[in-house]
Amino acid sequence: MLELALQSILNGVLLGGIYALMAVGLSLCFGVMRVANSAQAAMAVLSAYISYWLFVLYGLDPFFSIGISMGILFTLGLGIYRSLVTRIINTPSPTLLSFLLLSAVAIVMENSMVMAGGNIYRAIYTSYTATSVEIAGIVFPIVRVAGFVISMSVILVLSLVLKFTYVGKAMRAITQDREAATLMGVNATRIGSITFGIGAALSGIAGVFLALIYAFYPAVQGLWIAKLYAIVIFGGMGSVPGAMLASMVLGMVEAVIGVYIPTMWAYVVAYIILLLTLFIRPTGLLGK
Amino acid sequence: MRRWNIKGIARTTAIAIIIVVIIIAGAGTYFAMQMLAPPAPPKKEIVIGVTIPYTGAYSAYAPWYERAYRLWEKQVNDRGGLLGLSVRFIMYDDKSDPTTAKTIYERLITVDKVDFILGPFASACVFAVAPVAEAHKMLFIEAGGNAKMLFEQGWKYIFMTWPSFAEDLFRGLAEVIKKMPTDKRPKTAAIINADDVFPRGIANGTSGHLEKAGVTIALKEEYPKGITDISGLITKIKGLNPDILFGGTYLPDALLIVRTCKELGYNPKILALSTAPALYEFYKTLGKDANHVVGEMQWSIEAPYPGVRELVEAYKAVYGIEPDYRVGIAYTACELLENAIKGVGSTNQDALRDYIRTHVINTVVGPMKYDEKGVPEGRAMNFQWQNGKMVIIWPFDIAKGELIYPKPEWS
Repeated sequence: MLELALQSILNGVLLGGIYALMAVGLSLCFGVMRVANSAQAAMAVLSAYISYWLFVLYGLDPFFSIGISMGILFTLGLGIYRSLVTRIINTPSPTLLSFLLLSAVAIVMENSMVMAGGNIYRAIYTSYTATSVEIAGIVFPIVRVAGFVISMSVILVLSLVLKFTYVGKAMRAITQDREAATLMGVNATRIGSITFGIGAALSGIAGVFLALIYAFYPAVQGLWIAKLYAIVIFGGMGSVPGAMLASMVLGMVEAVIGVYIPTMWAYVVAYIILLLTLFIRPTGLLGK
Repeated sequence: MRRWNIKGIARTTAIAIIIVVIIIAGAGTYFAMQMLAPPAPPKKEIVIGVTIPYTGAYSAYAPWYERAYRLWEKQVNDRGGLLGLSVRFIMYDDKSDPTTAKTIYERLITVDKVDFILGPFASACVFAVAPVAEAHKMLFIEAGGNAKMLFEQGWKYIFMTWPSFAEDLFRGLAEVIKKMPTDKRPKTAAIINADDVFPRGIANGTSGHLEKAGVTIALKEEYPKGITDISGLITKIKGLNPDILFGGTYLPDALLIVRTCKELGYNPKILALSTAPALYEFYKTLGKDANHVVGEMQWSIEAPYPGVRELVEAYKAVYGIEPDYRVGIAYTACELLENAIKGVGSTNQDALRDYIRTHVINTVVGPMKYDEKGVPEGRAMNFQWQNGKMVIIWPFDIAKGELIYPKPEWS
């Protein structure tokens, strides 16, 4: 029984690690620019497709396509920000408008992918798919562990960037007080587009693992973005550590509960937690 | 005050008279044109309407059905068509959604005015569309669904081309288990299925058959249809460690289950899944991980019926790969239609229906003898992947090998 519980906690933590990448991106965009990036999951699915096709057509191992996906998504993020988001960023309600705008972008992306390749489930099967290591009776699936380690490293690098680089400090400055930061010489548009690009790149990394670990199809972005919002609100919109913590917690709760109650109910857990959060502490775990 | 405005009355009357004249003139012209119009041109072709799940949960099945239908379409036109007319399929995308399928079939019948319809894919869609066929009194041969409940609704126009109900697809496995020495038999099973009509049907049916073979059902659960991560459920099952894991699946979730079982190190003594193991994509994707999985199929390229060899050769010639059972089942629907039309000599739906009910028609799936519910006599086959080959283990009279039990560890 203990083994079962430990295994499910591990499953949850590993699951949370992948979600954390996208949740951090989402929270960051909101914190810095008050932009709700509803296309976060769609970007991850796009990245999943990119790695999938690189693997199927050219035999490129998905781990090597992480860099390529990141690059493509970063550029796409910059492009979307500069062409679309800048138009609504200076309106009185940028958050609501960005939510709607990017939801539309997500739908366009999803349907473009359907038209390009069909709404077929795809997954990447390599020679190392489904391999695992067993330690003390607990099974560690290798690809999931690799995904977790890479996610945590990336988030660590991101926090170092936030703390020590000019861009990072500028981002934190804008989060604290946009006007004051601009007065101090921070180019809000440039920093905003870089932040958005970073959020997209994070989805880019997550997407590769989604292709390796799960099955994906364009419509799944709708399911994931809903869960991402639940995670981010639970952790506190705008807080990077909050997003990470919330991903782990929700991942664990979902996995553990799924062992004791019917699977169909386990999916609802994330949303029940969201509701409770909004009732009890609307700013979330670590939000302000 | 009674003061009528003479000018006003005159004007109103004038307008009224003009309107009446226009209406009479219009009506008259219309009827005159009807009488003088040339007669409708003689029918040039027979049109068959069908939906294919190009997108959505069943999309992996779409190309196989389309190719089977198109192959028959070409063949029948090369033979001179039906009743001297060329045959043409109209195919729409039902997005694997029953409501969409239903709307499209309404459109096919009332707007496109097709001569015939064949059923959509998947029991869920067949269930939604069959009432439309019944309401319009159209022959409804369907190669898509075999859940038992489809034939308990009292429908009169439905015929399925599957030889066996979903519920009985794994009866063979239970028979194989019953033949094992009592102390060596598997004792427990976990049954999981997607929350959809066919998976539910097969899960319930298989559950019943296994129980009759003395197996206790340790767990029976449904999972959401579009699931992308099943590790929670498999972890739970691993904790219970049943001897058999049975999945009522379509292709994507079946692949996910096999991969997740291997990933989490759960190796049941029997791993049995519906539909997927017989499909071309299964072994191609999983490779050696597919070995020792038990599956079901209702047709194979080695089936000993007339027309099978020719179908396999023709399919390979046109598409470059061998057909799997999806093609056989879809092609049978076309054969039934063709046979009935030739036998009756007209496109009268009722006459065709009665013909199919009263005649045994030879198809690639075998001789089709239907009862009044639209169910043919037949049985499915159970097989196990062994060394990259599908080895039939039941029915015993055509079995080519024995079940390898227990399943060896993942490699």
